[in-house]
Amino acid sequence: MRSSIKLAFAVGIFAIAGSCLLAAKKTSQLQATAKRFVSDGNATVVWVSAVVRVDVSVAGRSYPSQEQKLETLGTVVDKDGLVVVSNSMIDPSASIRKQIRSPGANVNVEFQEVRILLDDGSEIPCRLSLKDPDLDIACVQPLDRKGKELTTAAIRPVNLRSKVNPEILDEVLILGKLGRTLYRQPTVKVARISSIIEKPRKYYVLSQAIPGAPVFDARGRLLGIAVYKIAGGMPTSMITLPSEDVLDIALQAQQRAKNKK
Amino acid sequence: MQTMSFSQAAKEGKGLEDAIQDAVATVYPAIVRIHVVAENGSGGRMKKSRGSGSGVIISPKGYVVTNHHVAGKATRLTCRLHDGEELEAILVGTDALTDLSVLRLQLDNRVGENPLPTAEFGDSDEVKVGDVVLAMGSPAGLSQSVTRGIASNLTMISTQRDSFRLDGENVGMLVRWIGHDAVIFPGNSGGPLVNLTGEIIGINEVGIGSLGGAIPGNLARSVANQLIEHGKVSRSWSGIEAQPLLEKDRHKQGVLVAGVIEESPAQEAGLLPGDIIQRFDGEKVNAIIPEDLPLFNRIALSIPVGKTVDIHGLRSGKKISWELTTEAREAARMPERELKNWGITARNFSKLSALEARRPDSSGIQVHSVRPGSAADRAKPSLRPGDVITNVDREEVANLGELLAKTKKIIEGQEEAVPVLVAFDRGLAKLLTVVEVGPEKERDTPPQAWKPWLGVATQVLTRELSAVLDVTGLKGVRIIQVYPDTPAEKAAFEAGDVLLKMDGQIIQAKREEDAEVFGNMIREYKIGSKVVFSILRDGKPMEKTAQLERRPTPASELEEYEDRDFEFKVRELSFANRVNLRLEKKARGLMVENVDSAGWAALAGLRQGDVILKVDGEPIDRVEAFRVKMESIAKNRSARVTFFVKRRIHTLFIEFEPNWEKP
Repeated sequence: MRSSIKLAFAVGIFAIAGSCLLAAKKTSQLQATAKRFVSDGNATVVWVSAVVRVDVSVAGRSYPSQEQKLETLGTVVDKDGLVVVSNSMIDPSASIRKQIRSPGANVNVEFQEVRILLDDGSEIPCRLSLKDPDLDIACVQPLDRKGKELTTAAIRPVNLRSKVNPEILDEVLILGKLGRTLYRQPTVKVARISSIIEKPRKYYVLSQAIPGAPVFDARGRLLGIAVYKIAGGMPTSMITLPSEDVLDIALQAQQRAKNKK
Repeated sequence: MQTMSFSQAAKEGKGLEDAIQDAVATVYPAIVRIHVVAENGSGGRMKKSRGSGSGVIISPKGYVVTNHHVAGKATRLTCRLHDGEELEAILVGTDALTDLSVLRLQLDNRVGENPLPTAEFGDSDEVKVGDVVLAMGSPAGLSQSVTRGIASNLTMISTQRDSFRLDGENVGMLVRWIGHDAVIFPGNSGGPLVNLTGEIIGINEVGIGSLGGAIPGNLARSVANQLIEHGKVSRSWSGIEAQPLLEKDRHKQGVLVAGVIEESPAQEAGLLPGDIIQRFDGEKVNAIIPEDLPLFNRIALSIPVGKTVDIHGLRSGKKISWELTTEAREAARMPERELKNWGITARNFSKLSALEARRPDSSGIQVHSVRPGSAADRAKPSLRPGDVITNVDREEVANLGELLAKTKKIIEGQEEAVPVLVAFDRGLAKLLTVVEVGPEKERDTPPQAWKPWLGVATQVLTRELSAVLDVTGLKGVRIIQVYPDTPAEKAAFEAGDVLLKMDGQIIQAKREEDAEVFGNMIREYKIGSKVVFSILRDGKPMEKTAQLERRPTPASELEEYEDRDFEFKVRELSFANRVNLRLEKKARGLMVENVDSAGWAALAGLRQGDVILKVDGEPIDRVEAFRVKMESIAKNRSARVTFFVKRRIHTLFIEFEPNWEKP
């Protein structure tokens, strides 16, 4: 009896020790991945700037055009420099409509200039090649895919074809880049998956997120891109769109750009 | 035809009615109805408009007198003669200051062989108050008309100074109208006022209530003769601004100098405000009341250009004389022209407009209007009406001709707009800007990602509706239309079905504002997803599964073409167009997406929503083919282009008559 108690105690100790070791291993793996991302110069996440011209008319009355400059984070998703961003961060239509609060309002946003801002200070002229306001994602395509800027730029696209099946409370890494005042330095955040929505399509809900930023598991495999959940045309809470959905959008953007040429 | 005056007629025992009949018979056949296509600068474009007025043929060579405000800005003129024949006409000359124009009928194209009926001017100075007068013309809706009245006043002027301006000219400066009570209908402008001898004693110009006003025939004849001979009216300019004597000086004779324009002959001669002019080039002048001023102006303006005239008058009660050498008087304003590549209308300066704008000389191009969204509007700073362009691409530009030539040089061979440094004056400030001159960049609107759809139109199941339909408390939408060849049709959905849930999720729609909820839910799915719908059909619950398909390309992403000559836009027919217009799947045609107001297309009668089926008899179904066709029309400068269009259940031919002369 006594020996069985001892055995059970020993097993328990081993189990606790094992799980602690496992947790420690996971933590160290998460940390190692984070360090790797940072040491790689965070060439996966870029700042994207856009100058938009906004024309508003309400009940047939036009208001003077206004220009807005916007900056947002984006994730490089292929070797030719295709970047995905959160649509609501680059297209102010929805927020302007909300401000106007008039059902007859017509808001027209024209993208006059879109640029990818690289760490070395260079800028790549781009165009917005596809928008999905429902999924809150937009694709930014360099104007000259074989351009000098891109071949010299150190970009590191994410792998949209990675297969990951995360579970609730898994720890994930969000890769970001600080703003201009903080010298656009790489930043990494740790979050947990707090919910997984299956219908009408799969979304991950995280404890925190950065719009347009990639979300990775501890091993550095891409889960998806953080965007806003759109409800009633307006951005609401943040979610992570799975990488396979982002891949669909990216492929469509590439195909339609090719057809346009 | 010989006619006689009423006094003669009376002596010969003829009555008034006979005299009227004779006068009508003499002049009536010479009346023409003038159809005008005119262009006026506004909003950075030359806007086209149609109008009509009256005129009278005064010469067998086909010269027609009418008003400047009828034909002075015409780009196309057609005259309908008394026998119904229509002839094109050209503008021989126009004079805004007297509101008179002369046209010439294109008689080479005349079908009829009868001699052209003409009317002659009488002596308008012989007209007396109380004389019977006949106002003739071709007002709207009538081929020809004549109304009878009497001359009521021979010195009718505009009651408010400067109240009647045409192209910057003060018409009342020279004209004292013959006021009469013969009815003036809209469209009577330009028609003759006739005495009982059957002579033109005036050209009808205004109708205010029951009072008509005609430009005196003698003035009209003099102006018409100059226009026929020289294409313009030559006048002198002195820079004197006159007004009637003040009450305190009414005992004196003369004309008060109200102002002297800087750098004018009057200033050079030493005239000053307050001086009283009593003799001008040997003629005694006097202006006690405003009606007297046009007489002085006529004398001053009719001096030969460059002549030195003696002026005698008073300064502070003492006699004084001046010697003044006149200059040629230019128009108050030069006509505006459109510069499409800039998105502006602009004009040269005349001597007078340069002085008005306080310019040192008449060089530079004055911006008249700016098209919103155009290159000029988008420049930073943008060009505004009133700005004066002085330098383009580091070269001075003195007038519109130079600006047009410079623009042509800049954009030649360019496929995209060229950023050009432009210097311009705004008041006393000298500004620089960059205008992207040239073909406007097509808007690069990002397409939207492909989306799934069910293929139904719905209405919200409002509280009121759910109560009446005995489904109180339920939320959802009601199908009002099932589109053909869609997932909904394949899944056998029907109009009237009430959709309550999708994959178990309630469709949260209960107010009209929730109209987009259902569509938003559908668009969250992936294309190809199978969705289970919980529905009510005739009050019975059931489930239906539909596999969502890719939504047809929205209209905003279909290929389109904008024709900048005719000013309209077309695109391919969308799925919604075919459904709403009940068109077959393979039906041909292009949808008219937009027609700019006051463009050639609008003038021809093309409307948004028309479906273009043929152009000049050629069937059209693709935007690219249409583009090629329209570019060929522009290259060949076709005088007429015919569209065959479908408008709801109707079809019709629409004829365009563009004016290719002006770029």
